[in-house]
Amino acid sequence: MRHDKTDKPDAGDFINDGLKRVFEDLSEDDLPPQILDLLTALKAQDASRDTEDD
Amino acid sequence: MTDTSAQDDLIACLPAVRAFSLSLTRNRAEADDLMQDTIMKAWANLDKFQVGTNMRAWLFTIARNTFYTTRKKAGREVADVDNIFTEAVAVKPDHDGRLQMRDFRAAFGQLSDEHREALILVGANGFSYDDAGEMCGVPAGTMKSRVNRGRQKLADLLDLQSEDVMELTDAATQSIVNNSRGPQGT
Repeated sequence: MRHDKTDKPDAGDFINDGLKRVFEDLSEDDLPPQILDLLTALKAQDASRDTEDD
Repeated sequence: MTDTSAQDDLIACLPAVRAFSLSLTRNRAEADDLMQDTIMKAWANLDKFQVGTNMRAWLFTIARNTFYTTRKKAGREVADVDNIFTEAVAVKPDHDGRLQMRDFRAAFGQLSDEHREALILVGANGFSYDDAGEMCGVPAGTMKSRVNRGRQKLADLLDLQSEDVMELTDAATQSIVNNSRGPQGT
């Protein structure tokens, strides 16, 4: 795991870049089905309430 | 009448909320539960969200508070049972091939909750120390210290030269970090 000084970018840049890429990787997963179902249910609930208000 | 623009903003932030939830829980099932709780709380309180303020920060704050409340009730810490940070990932090719993301992710997964959280907020999402501190209920100086200690810990785990690791290194911060580093120092 050693990064030779002559074979690595600046350590600060390495960490900054790594943090951004870790977060990007975690963001790339599709939203799980139960979350999509929840959003659908919440929207339907709001639409129903708006209709009642009208 | 439902504010669909706020809803759209919320939905647009969900990939980031999922990433933040995964980084907190290190467990896909828990992250999904946390995300579900966060969405329900946020959706029910969308009328309280101030337009023009940061939706992502608001959602992260809800997720974080929910996570620590649940953790406190459960009275335990969940390990990285899903290998969120250690699993074999498709490492994106780098133009010079020098970034070793697998090592980086494994090291990141070994950090404490506080350090992972601080680095995700400030390092990955670009929140200011003030904003990240407010989200975590600590002063900006404490957040800055957590960020610097997290970076130092990462550098140690990755065996990087540490002299240029600090993001904002004033003498006072450097002194605090140096004095706190020891066999048990985090």
